[in-house]
Amino acid sequence: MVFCIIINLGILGFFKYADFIIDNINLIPAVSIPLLGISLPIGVSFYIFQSLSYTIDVYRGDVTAQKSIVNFGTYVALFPQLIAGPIIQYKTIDSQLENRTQGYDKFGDGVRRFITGLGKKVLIANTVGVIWTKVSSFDTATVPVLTAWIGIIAFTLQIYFDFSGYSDMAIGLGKMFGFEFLENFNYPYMSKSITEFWRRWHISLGTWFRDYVYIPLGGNRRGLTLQLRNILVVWLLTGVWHGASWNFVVWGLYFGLLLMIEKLFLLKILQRIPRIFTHIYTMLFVIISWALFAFDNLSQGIAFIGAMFGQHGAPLYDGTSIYLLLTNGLLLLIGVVGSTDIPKRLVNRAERALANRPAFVTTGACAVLLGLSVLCVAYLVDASYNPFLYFRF
Amino acid sequence: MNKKIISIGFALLLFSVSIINLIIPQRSFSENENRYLQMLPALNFEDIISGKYSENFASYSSDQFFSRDEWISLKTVAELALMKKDNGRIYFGSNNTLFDATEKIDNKQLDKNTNVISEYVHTLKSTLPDLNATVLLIPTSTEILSDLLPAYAPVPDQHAAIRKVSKQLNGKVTVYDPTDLLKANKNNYLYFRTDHHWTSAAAYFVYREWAKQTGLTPFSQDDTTVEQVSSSFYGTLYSKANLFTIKPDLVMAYRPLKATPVWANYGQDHITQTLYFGEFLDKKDKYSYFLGGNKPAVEIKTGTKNGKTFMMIKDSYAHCFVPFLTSHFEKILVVDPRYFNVDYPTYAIENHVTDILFLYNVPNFSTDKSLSRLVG
Repeated sequence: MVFCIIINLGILGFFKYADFIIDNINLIPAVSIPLLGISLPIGVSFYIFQSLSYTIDVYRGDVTAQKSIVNFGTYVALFPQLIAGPIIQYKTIDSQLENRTQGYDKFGDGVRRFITGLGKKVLIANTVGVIWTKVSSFDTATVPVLTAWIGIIAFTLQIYFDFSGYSDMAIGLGKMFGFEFLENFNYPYMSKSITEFWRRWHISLGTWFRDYVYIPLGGNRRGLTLQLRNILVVWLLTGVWHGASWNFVVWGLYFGLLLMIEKLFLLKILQRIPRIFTHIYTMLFVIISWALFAFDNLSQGIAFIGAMFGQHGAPLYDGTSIYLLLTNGLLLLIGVVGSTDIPKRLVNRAERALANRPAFVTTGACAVLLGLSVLCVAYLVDASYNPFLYFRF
Repeated sequence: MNKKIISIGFALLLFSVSIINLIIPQRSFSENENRYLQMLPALNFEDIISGKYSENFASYSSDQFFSRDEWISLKTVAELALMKKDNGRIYFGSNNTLFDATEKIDNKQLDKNTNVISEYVHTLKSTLPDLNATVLLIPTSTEILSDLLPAYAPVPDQHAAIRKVSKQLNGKVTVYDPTDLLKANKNNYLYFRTDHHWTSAAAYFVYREWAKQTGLTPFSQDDTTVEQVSSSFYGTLYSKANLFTIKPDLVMAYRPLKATPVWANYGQDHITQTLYFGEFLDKKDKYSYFLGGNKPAVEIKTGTKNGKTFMMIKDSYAHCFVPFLTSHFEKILVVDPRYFNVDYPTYAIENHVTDILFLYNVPNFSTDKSLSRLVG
């Protein structure tokens, strides 16, 4: 097992981190190693983590070894989730590799899920992404407070709709083939603490680190000091997993620190204050984290956070801020509402209300799905902007 | 809910769209977008390895999607419905008017180009002491028709840029600022709604004031015929707007009643007796009706016998301005430093230039990098 883990992490280290390490060694005077300029294979962080999951699950005896190379290959390279997750733990899918049922029921659910995900990615993530691209191109020293906030809120929505949209598409495609993947997002922006946020955001990565790093290190059962150390290790790794660059290290540690503070005392306080404040607290720190996440250059990210709080003496707003707000406000509002469970609750309520008129529900669902597909095609045909955010993962 | 219907519907949709895309003929050029479309790329080893093949294939699949123009329009309509007022390239103004949303003023380049003018004129004056030099910087529609722009749309301050140039050249070269004149006449058809150029009408207003200021007697409106040469002009802004419901522009030509004969040499022995190119009226770019579009240099001899040689350093805004000059000068040299590379001081001196005009639109003048050719 040790051999297998070393090989896997070695591959990941070489492709993803070699140039980062060389770059930093080169900071030492008189050292100059040429960069390797390796292109990062798409989805490498996802499938390396999946093969590690297999090795560890088998080693622990949670599952028996897979005898069929085809089944193993299917697990590692299953295309729906290959490039952007979710990271599927082997033990959750072992039995499905051989026994799964396909049928109209699952296929129809899969279609619905897939189109929802496509819509999230193409109609919302890409369009709010345009706002962020624009705002992030402004000079952070002169950008007004309102513009900075519009920009970072747009990025906050972009990364959620993009990532959860990909997960929805993966889960939907999986369903069409009869697989049942675990959920990867659970309305993270409705969280009431950072601890809860990370139980709702990229769940598959969180559970991977919990099951394969945090718990083996002792988790929370060996005293407070060790628990804090374990949190720090996990979050350092989580940060680095997201990309080979210092801003991701700081981003991971930032969350590690927040989680430690919550564990020590803050959670108790949060439980006692009105819910609205807990939401504001959580989103404030999540949004700040995205500023660190969005800029490869750490000092630029910090300067942007400064701009959000008017640190550079720029005005509160200018004509451009108002223009951005007027022309994108509705889109941002749709994004904000769409990132809560309100749409889902409305759909469920409508379905319940019309439970005795199934033909009506089918027609409605078909119309909505068709409308979404048509819009997605229109947005994709004019593919002047279709970014892929996870080329670093 | 009947999931069988959804499943079958989805599969049918996927198959039919793929099949339609396979059987429709490929288009190599999009008239609406005014660009070449990606055709099915040929398979070859190098392109596959470098990733170029997959890149081209991705643009092929969106470029050759059936009814591409209608899909793109649908996207634009959806975005406008969400209160968007631009698509990153175009502002959608009121009254069917499109504006360039990418204009900018580069203050450093503006400074450089202004110094180039000053230096060039200074050099010429040592040999041609009576040289009459003027600068005409024309604001674009975003400045003059700002009432039609979406509220708070950020656009550069072109008037400030003109004032800056004017101040810098004070006492050396006369800068004529047409901003107020154009604003006062903004109810006329001064700019194309679908193209980034001004119209003959705007050029005529500016010509009249500029001529008065430089001591020429402009011909009056009564001595002019206005002819509508096209009513179906879709310009460059239209191509970037992706909203194919916008109405086309009219193209008008202003001509003096008493026309002066011209012999115009467009380079490479292309000599004609006209400044208008009717053949472009059947093509996409109808603004090229004026002077035949961008040419490195056009040398015009006129029937006017007064020994005056006029030299114009310009961008395409000059094209509908040139026809007004033929009765004032015996020889007119129209040169575009972006495409014409000569020793500029020698060129002017050898042609015994008596009058020189720099005519640019403001954003172009503040970003153009070829003007430095004037001073070597």
